[in-house]
Amino acid sequence: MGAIEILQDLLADPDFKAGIALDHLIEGCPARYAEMPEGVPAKLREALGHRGIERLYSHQAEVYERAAAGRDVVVVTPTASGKTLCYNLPVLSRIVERPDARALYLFPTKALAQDQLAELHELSGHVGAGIRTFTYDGDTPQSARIAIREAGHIVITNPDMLHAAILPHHTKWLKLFQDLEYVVIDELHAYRGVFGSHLANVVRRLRRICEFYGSNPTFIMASATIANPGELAGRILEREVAVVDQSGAPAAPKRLVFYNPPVVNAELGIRRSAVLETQRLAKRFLSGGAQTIVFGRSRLQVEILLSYLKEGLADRLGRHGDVRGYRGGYLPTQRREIERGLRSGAVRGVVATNALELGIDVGQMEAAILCGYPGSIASTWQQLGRAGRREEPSVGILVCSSSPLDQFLARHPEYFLSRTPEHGLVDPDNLLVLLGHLQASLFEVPFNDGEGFGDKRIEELLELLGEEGQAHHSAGRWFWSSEAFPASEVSLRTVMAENVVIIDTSNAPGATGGPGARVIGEMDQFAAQTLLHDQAIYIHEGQQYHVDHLDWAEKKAYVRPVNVDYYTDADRGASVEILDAFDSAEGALVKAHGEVQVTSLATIFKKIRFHTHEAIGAGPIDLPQVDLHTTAYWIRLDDALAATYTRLQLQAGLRGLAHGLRHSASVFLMCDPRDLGVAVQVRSPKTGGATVFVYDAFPGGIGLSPRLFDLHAEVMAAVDELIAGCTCTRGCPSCVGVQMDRDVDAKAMAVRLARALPGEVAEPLAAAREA
Amino acid sequence: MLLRERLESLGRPTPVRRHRPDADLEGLASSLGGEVRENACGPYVVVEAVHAMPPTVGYNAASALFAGVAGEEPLRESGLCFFDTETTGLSGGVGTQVFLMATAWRVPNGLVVRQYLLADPVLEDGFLEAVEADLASSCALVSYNGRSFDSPVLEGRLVLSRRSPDCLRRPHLDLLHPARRVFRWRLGQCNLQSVEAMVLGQDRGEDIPGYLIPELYFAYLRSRDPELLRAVVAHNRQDVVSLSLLLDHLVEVIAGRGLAHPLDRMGVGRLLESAALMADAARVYQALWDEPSSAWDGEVWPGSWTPVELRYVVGLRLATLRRRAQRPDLAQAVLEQLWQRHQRPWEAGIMLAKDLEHRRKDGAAALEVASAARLALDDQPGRTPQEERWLADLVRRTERLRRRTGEAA
Repeated sequence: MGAIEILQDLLADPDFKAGIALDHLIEGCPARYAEMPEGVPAKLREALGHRGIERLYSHQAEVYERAAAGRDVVVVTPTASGKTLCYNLPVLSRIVERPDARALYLFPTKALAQDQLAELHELSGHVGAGIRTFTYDGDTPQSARIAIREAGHIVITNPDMLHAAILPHHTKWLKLFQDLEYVVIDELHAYRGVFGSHLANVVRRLRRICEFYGSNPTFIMASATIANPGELAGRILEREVAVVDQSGAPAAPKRLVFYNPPVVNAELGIRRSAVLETQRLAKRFLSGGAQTIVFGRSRLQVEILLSYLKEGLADRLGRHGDVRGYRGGYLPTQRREIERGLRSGAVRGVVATNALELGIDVGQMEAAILCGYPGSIASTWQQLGRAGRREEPSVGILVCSSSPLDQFLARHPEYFLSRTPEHGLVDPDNLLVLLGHLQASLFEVPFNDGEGFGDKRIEELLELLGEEGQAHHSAGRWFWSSEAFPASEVSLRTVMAENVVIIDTSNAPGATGGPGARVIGEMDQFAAQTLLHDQAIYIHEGQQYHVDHLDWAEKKAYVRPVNVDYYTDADRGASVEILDAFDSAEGALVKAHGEVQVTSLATIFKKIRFHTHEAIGAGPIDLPQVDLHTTAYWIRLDDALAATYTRLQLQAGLRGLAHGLRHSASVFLMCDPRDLGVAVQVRSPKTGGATVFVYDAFPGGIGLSPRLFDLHAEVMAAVDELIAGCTCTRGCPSCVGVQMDRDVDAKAMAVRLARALPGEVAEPLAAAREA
Repeated sequence: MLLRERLESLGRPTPVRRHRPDADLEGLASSLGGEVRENACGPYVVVEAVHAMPPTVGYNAASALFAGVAGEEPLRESGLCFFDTETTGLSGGVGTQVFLMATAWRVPNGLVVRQYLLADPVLEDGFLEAVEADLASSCALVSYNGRSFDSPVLEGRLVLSRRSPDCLRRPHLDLLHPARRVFRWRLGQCNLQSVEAMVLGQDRGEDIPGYLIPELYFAYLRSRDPELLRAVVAHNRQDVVSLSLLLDHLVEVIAGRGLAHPLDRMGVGRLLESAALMADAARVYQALWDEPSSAWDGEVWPGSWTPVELRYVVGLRLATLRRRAQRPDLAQAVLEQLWQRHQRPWEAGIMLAKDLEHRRKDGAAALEVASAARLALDDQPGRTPQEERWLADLVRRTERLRRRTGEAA
């Protein structure tokens, strides 16, 4: 039975049909081809012929033409549209033509780099021109490194390795940098927020080194569908990048269904478990013979879904080996085996985390089932894109969970269909990020007077480093002048300043760990106060950890894995002081963004049970106050509007609004809600009125709040939908957050505020423009 | 807001402000007993001195040292360049500068030591030009850990100054590796200072620890006080002098001349083995084996080493080499002795049992040895992981031998 027939069967069931929030047919389209470009050498043409590729999809040819002409280009096309050939074609063509030419490939993870290596080996093996491709990462043995530096035509690595191991030792990579003609950055959408801000600076360093060796590589970037690929690529590269976003790959028609499980507790807005519903649906597709991929949101969920499915299918299929799990933490060999099984069809079903969302080739499934909204529109399309066979229509199902965002989408599926995906935002000029990389770059190549760092002027920063003795100015040049190795001070995944290290002590005796203790991550101080305090439940890659002790003086959090049915939520008493407003718009309200100083003190935490969101315990947090200098977006309410509330109502309304704002803003900004902080002031000393602040929860900011300022009206509309549309009666923890005073109808207050806000600023602005 | 204040408010700690006066080359050179010279690329400071040395020993006998290093040409003693650098950082990387470089050249009864000093980072061009010319006149380089550290750091600076690194591309004998092979049994850690003190009997007197050197140089740049560098220059000079003495010493002990601790002589055997000079290695072991323990009276034995332990280890190596050299009879004689005389002869027992079983086809005798070893080892409390592996081997071996001899019977 095909996937569509199975879906029809399901729809015959009135209970299932009642939960359908969206049933949408995405029309298929035929392939658009282009002839193999003239410039592709015969050897490569033959090698492609062996793999059945005689001509190209139109977008592949477009990218080739631009890249071959030395133009930077970013290609944005759906999953499985032949994206890797877009860059492999110009790169391999060039190497066949000029064997001295070199290329550098960057992937955000090691696993993706390994994938690409396998693909390139196969292709270049057929070309037979002695093209050597290597991965270079932390696992590369010392003995192999010299050969890679000297002889690798294509070096595949990740940004962290480039930053800490290659650039600071660039003289060992003379051959690579002298003849570097192409730099490929795949999965561009992964580089947003802090990581992207760092990457932009790593690229600045890379380009300075290329300039030193007299090379000027062309950049080819590839991204999943995001709203602003050209902008993001341009921001990272600091020059204009051509965008190729019309896919020539054929698309089979696809039925897209949003399924909302039935309500089981109306008052609290609780629905039947998305996990159980997903499992039920997946079983139908699998036992009907359709190859199916199921996406869970965490490792834990994946393992649960997998064991349910194996159990449920064991008797029907006789063997359950053909349903597999796939997530971070599996061994590479295991993953390869699963990928091969999926491509060949031997593996009939797979349950995966978003580890399979990135460009790993597993062929195309007949059905994709998403257990809960993946958190961003871009991810949703990526995951749905795993289904889609040429020959027959495929099925994509989103099973909505009880979470506010899922319920918002279930009520407004048109929002999902009509919206472009999220923006990828970076701020390469975040002062701390910038300064860290400037030091590393100075270590790598001296700066001439007047030289910029990318398009950033840096005289003042160099002067500062000079005063501190880390740089030395002489004869018109700046030299590195310290015994430090600056790249080791910068981690690409966080903003500088001292982070709290998270240590898993489960394999080590004693509370503070001995041998066997394992560092599982780090977190900036500000976030650590509410996420890593004593007794917090910290969730890392889907695993819950209990924080046994946070040693604030040493900046170490000692944790151990646990399995509990609650999470913790800490209250932060935050006071925000506006330092500098960059831009503001005034109407009946004032919206603005600028620099702020957030002084925060973690006060208490609550233990909240999953699903029911009831508070089952609480405790004090004893930590010193921390200051965060960052950027924020804020709204000051019109006094007349504020005057219509009592103080308690205003407080509840503002808090509810802030909670909703944080969650809906995270959707628009493609970030985790924890990347944003919120604060409310019933009467702000600086603005003089009731004010809601949303700030970047990273020192210096990473570009989120200026974008919120631009998106104000849309975000407010979404907040309104989020809160008003929640099925609860008077506000629940998922729509307005945990409220102190149960007597106030926080939901009504917050909705009233959200509705009052967007319209009133839009008009004066529009009027001002006309005038 | 001022940049500094902004950074402070973002949580970045502010380093102390530092001022740096201009370099005084003449002052620096004269306080350290050197002179200012100039080449096409600029001025540099050099301190040159001849250090008195014992007569040269001739390096022809040192083939094991140069295995895999030298080319076809025999090495000229006068063409060897001993070198050592002091740098502005200990982590390497392109931004780490060499600020002091010593080269040393053998002459009869002496060593000519030239130390190039970078008076200021901006004067690097003249400095590198001089260093490059000096290195280029050598036929081979000798260093201590130079392959992993000094040479790559210097190469990075040469490339960054758009110079060719060819002056470093010549045979390079890094004495760290042979020294480690020879002396680790006695010294454990083999840094140049411990080899110097324990092997060459040199006393450095007041010496500065290496990790302080970068900071001293930066302190000099801030204060321009040449006294800060005096100890660094002395340290650097002593390093190349020791290098030269160490090479001589290694050549002598490899040739079997001069006095050496029996553990070092065993180390020479290991070095020869690693250079695939098996016959030479066997000769070294045989000489130790044949010596009466009384010959070693008065030696200091570090850690758990004793004359008995040394004899056992030497015996095992000797037996192994004899067997490989198709002299199983000689190997057997050694093993029998080890098996009978040593207190924990497990490894010897295994080798002996193998020999009895496979070569002499005497399963019963093999079983006797193996089960005796197994029983004794089984009784021994607190076995090391290695002893656990031996025990596992012995268990398998006795089981198999028992089956086989049972079948035969």
